[in-house]
Amino acid sequence: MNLTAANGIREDAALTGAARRGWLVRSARWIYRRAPILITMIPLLALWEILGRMHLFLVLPPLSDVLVAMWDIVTSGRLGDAVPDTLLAIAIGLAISLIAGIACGIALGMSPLLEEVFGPYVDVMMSSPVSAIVPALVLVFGTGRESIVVTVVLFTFFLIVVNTQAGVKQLDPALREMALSFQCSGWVMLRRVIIPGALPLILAGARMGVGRSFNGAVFGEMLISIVGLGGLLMTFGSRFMFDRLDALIILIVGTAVLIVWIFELVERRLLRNR
Amino acid sequence: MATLARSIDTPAISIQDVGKQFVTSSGESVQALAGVNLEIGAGEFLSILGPSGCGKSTLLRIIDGLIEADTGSVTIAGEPVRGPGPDRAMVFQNFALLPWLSVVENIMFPLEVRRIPKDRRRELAEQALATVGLSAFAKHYPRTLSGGMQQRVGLARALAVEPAILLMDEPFGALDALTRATLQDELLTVWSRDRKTAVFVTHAIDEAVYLSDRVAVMSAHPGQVMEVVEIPLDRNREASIRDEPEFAEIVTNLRHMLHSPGVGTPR
Amino acid sequence: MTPRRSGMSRRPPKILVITLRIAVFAAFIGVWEWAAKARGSPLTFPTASAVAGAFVRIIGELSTWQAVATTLEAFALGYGLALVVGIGFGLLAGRFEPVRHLGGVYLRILLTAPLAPLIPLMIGIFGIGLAARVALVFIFCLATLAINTQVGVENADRDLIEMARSYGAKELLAFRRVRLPAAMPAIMAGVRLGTARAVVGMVVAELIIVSVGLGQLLNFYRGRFRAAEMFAVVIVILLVGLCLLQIVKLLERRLTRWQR
Repeated sequence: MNLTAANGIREDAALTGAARRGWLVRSARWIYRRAPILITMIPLLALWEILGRMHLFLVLPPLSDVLVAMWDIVTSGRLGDAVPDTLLAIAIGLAISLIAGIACGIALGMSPLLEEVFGPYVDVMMSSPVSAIVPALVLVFGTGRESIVVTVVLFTFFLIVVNTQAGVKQLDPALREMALSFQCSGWVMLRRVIIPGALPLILAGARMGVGRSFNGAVFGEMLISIVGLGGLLMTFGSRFMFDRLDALIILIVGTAVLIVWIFELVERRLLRNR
Repeated sequence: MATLARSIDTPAISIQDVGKQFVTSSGESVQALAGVNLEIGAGEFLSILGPSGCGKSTLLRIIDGLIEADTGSVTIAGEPVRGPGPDRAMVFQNFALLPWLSVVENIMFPLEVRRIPKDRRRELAEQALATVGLSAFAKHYPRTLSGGMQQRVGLARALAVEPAILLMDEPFGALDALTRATLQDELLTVWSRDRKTAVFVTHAIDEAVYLSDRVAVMSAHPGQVMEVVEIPLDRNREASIRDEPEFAEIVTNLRHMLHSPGVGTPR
Repeated sequence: MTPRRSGMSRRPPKILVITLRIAVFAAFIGVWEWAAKARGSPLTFPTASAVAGAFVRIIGELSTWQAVATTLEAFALGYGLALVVGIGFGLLAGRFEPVRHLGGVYLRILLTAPLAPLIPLMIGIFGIGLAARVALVFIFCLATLAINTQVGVENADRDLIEMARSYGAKELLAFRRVRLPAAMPAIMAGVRLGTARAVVGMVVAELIIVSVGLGQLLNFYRGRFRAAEMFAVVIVILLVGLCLLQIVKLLERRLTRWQR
């Protein structure tokens, strides 16, 4: 870039022009790097609105309608009945899975005998579509909240067991030996060596469990068809109220993704020093 | 202000006719040790020297009480060994630091197991840290330390519980040569203060000669003590002693002993 | 080789293990029998023996196998489509950073989000026939296939690629002969995991869209209060899922032999 007196003004203009473009390029680059989702999301949302207005697909009302519906169901109280039901079932089911699952996972990880005996069963449960059991469950336990809770447990228990077990097994045996050499055993060993050592995988299992628990609860409710969020989804669907359906789907999926994301942040914080 | 307590009763270790067999994962049975006899005096620094696989680490663990001998016995100050105890502390080859605890927390860990009250724990830990010169790294996590520093922490941890006997399983084996030399000197410095009974396992001849009062040479398959060699060098030795011809002579002797037929080969 | 330390992990005797395994299974069946007899009626809580009998019966019936075939049809189409699209996208994403960067978020969401809520939407778009079930299977396993493939291609040993380039291998050749084989284990892992998810999608779709296949069969028995048969259909579904996964595991082992 040669700045000569003769081309002074033009050079200056070129400079500011370049500076302006430089700013644009830089911010474009920043968006690309830090928030790539904006680049694809905005055109997609725009497309949604346009296609919706064209009434091309029944299931695709314009984005604006969906947003209105979202506001509607949140404020109208429709959601207010369904959400606590579902969330409560998820919370209880997850709590059961976590407590029982981590305990069993630790037992399986520490005892070769238990691992050999129960291992195949856990494998089978992990490899089978447990959702198939739900209709049988509903038949036996009825259409109340218990069935949903059991469904959530079914969906998440084995996952947590497998992850906890793996976490315990990957623990460096030298660490256990070291603890033993300092006369550490039993509860203290569990609390101060085994669980902290297995924590990364335990947390990973719990995180996946959160996602799965939503799946389980919603699925169970859809099967039973009148309760909770699942029931609401089926209702909107069968009545062709697609603006509300789309809105509810976004809300549910969005919430689940948000919770998992928060969990990941917590996870990262807890494991930051290793 | 309190100093590490002086170990008044550094007991002798008596290893009598110890044997140990293992079953490998493929089902074969391996005789790791057979008829091992060794007496270790109070306040003595003894190295167990031998090729890889000769059972020296197994022997050390039997002394620590982590493994039980199949035959024979180990007595410390007259009492038979039944599991790990507060009179012994081990330093591990791969440091065995808990990665989720900071340096000072790692040192406090065995003290916590022993139910020592919190402030006394911190005191002991900080003293031990000072002994190995790592006070500035108290809040660091093992991940951020070099191998040499991690092993210093391992040593500090063993010292913090004020054991009568220090057991070291190839503690410098995972370190590079330069760090190893530095730590050997540091170990000698630290050890000279209290003259605890020390049992040091290694396969490096010069290390054994440099550090010890006596060297027990082991043969493999099955592991047995072939000979116990007295190291006639001045106890207050310095690094320069490695250049002395006497040093080289002792090392050569030991090397011949180790390479004599039947030492490393299965019987 | 050094034998195990401190006797901390000992192999338990095989006989004991097998005996205990059978005992666990027997205990499970026993509790089932007892609970069914004590608690419920045969209409809602069939005993294990009743279910076993029903299972043997329906296995012999043509309608069962027709249902299995219909269900598998949706699986094959949805899974096949997902393999092509998912692995294809994964290959691109693994190779080209912009694709990875821009598409990554969507894949992550597809991976972690609960997909069951999408079922009514799929019904709305495709009706209650084959297409909706194919779509569900597709969506359930797409992300897994894509991400695992992507990671596999991404992590292909840079040294190997450099070596190939230094011998004059052009882009496509290097891709085909170096990156792809190196990514195979990861791709196969993705296929295995993806199969599990596809099976879940298949079953979940079957049970909610009850017009065809095993879902219809299940509903058929439920409607007639034949609980034992219904339970038996559940077992059939479980077995189908298990078999599919076993086949894929075997395939995986075959195709990644060189790694061992």
